[in-house]
Amino acid sequence: MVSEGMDMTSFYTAAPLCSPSRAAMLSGRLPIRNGLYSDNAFGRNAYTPQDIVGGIASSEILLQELLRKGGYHTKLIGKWHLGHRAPYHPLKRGFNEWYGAPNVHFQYDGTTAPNIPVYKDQNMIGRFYEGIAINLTTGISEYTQHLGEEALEYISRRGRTGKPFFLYWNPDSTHAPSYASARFRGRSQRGTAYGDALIEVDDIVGKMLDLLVNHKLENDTLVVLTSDNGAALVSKREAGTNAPFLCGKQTTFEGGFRTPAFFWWPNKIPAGNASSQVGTQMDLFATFLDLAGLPMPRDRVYDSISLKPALMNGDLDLEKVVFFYRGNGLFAVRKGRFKMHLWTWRTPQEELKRGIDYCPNIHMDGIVSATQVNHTAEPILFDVDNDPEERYPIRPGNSPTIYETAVGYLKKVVEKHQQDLVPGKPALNYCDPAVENWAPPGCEDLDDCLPIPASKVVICDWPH
Amino acid sequence: METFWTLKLFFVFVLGPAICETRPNFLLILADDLGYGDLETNGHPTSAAPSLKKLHSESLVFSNFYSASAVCSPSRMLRQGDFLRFSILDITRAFQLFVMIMPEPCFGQCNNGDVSCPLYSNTTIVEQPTSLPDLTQKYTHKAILEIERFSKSEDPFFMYLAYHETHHPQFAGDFRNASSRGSFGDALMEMDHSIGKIISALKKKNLLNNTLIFFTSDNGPSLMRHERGGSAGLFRCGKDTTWEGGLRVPAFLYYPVHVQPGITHELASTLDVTPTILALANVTSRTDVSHGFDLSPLFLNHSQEVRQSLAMFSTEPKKAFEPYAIRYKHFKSHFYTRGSSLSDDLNFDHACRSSSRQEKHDQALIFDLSVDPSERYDLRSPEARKLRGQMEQLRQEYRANVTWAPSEMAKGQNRHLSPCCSRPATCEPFPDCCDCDEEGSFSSPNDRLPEISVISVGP
Repeated sequence: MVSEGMDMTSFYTAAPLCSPSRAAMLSGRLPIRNGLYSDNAFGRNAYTPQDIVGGIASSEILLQELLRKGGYHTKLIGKWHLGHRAPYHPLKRGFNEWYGAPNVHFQYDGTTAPNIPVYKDQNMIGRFYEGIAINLTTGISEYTQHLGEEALEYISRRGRTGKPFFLYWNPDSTHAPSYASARFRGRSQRGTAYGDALIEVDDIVGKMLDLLVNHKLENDTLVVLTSDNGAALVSKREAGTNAPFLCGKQTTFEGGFRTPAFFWWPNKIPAGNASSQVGTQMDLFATFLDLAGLPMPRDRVYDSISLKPALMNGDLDLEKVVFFYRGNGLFAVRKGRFKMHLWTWRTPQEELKRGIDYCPNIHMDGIVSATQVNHTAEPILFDVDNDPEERYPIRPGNSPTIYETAVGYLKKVVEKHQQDLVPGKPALNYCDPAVENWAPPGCEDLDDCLPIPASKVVICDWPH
Repeated sequence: METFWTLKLFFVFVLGPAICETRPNFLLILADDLGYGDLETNGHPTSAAPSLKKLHSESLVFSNFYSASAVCSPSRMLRQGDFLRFSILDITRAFQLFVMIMPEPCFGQCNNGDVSCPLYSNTTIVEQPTSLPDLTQKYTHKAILEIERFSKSEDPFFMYLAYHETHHPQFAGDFRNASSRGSFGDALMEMDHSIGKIISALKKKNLLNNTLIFFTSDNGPSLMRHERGGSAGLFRCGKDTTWEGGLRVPAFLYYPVHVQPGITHELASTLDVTPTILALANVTSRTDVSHGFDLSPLFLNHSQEVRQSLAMFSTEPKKAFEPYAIRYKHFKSHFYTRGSSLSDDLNFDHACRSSSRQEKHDQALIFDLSVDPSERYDLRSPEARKLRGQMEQLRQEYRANVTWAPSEMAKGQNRHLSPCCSRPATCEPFPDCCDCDEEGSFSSPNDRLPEISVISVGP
């Protein structure tokens, strides 16, 4: 896929973790605008565990809604993660079809909390660890195979109609706890379920590309592969890697945000090139609309540019700005080759004590720190083209001209951003055990409706 | 178990006719201080090396390839190092093939009082001081001229291209500011461009299909140079350490028709380069002891585990402590570790700093490099105890079996041995008198060249 397409090497997510990142990609807007954040405490990462009350706001216009309106058939396969309650159901948010789960595949005991349901379209068809088996002892589950079969079936079926489609394929097997199907478990040199899961996902991606070619759809289909955030280094031996980038998931260093991004479109996108276009997953919103010939809504601010010129002609937009938010806190900004950190934070002390570390082996006093550090008075500056590893801060004392110039314009970028910013209403402030997946639609037919406990709305605790 | 642990260390080469009819040409390309993470093919986001990228895609990539030493000269095997009894010189003498050897790098290591860097053509110093900005262009030009000459001969050739790139301080000729990665990226681009031109020349002369190209680096990145020092990627520390970042280097082998492009995770080392080349050239070595293995069964016959283990030595080895580390299959045990100022005294990983002095690990650290290539999580499981014992036994076997050559470095230094343009190094005022008189007035062959400078052997 990479050798036949384009590799964007300065491509970022909108958040260092799952829900806000995914919501931003589909809405074309930063979490701080679209509401997928919390302001319960400054600079904390929030997401959509199953006791979350909120989800993506109905006022947000999602990519699949616009594509569908523009004549596309749409399908979500795999993880949704923009809210699991009825108003946030993917079929209410622009997808014609859905096969997958609303939340992370963590295991619950079924009594104090229900296991996560897997849906086919409107209704649940089973739950993880129950009908949809994941064996945590062996690290084996056939779930990714189901997601693959769904995808191949969909491409064949929709490909035959000659009408455009949008397939959003979200396997979650490389998320802890990792799993792979029996055929792939033990296959990787890496030796972990993570490594096996990666091989399995890769195998299915290969089958999808082959199928597109077989159906002669390759010249009419853009395939993009990316990830929702950096590798979760807390998983230690079971983790992925962000090398050469600093730290990982949950942080605003490059390891939390910079992500693989491969674009495949034979005969449209030149083969085998890397692009230095700075981009974010929110740009997929404008890019897809641009390629589909559909207009961007004009009633709101977007954090999205079309990457079409970079993909098809190699034209670079050097004005692109990347904002690195942790929750409601603007921690860093990148424009051009410079990245400026206004705040830095590694892992809170109480988590470090429990062996949770988003930056293992790394000691950078005052930068990779156990408490939030405010650098606004003298921001930390990196040249992430020269120093993508964020190892060597450019100090005002050593390179005053570079520092003053870069920090000067980055501060102006931040100032303008903050002046214009109208924060969305935070959707991730409240939690309630009653909203968990006790009795999802379709549970009656499966005789799998669990008793719903009394409602008890609390302020969610976001520890990091 | 006994036979299982028998070392294949001291095998006499059995040189079979691996390639019967025509012996391949060899192009050995060695980069300088280029770390595992420095190429775009290994995930660097701002490196650009299109020729190497293409070569990589058409090569067999060695993902577990180690330099024999974490600093340059011992790694390069151009001299007999403390424990490496084999040198490139041996190949060239045994081959009787044409050899072109570029001058050894001396920039970066020059101290006040040293002579300036000479450029040799065979045994003659043709420039001193060498002009660095156009040096790579000269190498490229010379290599292409030689390729044209080779093409007129029936004999196979061995060409060793030892670039100065990407060692600090970098120079990049026409590629200055060409990359977005600064001076390191520029130097890499210049080397890449040179490699591309040389491969094109081979192709143009119809030599490419019978040429084995091997690309690697002499050691990990010189992290003390910060953003100009290179990247070890996902590996720990860098140059001058026995952590993976010091020793694991990019390596790929291109040999069209004979070798399928792809990746091998088999263990291999720069120590294996000489035996492999000799075997493919069907040359019997006059040296019968080597720490290297002929890797050709691995890439010609898909054999596995040609090499099961590798001993890793520190850069100032002392018998009492070596080897520092042992790699066996996908496990690595550290018995001693130390950081180095070359791996940056400000390194965010304290293990890499020189303040991490030599430390003996009574309970050897053990890492499963398949799972944990970054050497973060020492194995503590009960199974690891048995493995640790096996590692210790393997280390003892290395200790018992390695014959220590007298140290070349311990012979000391003498300025009269310095390369000196057209005059003996006893001249005054030293070292300025050693510079060539003027540009263009190349010296005649210097019969007083010190022994260490005679590094090429004519046909």
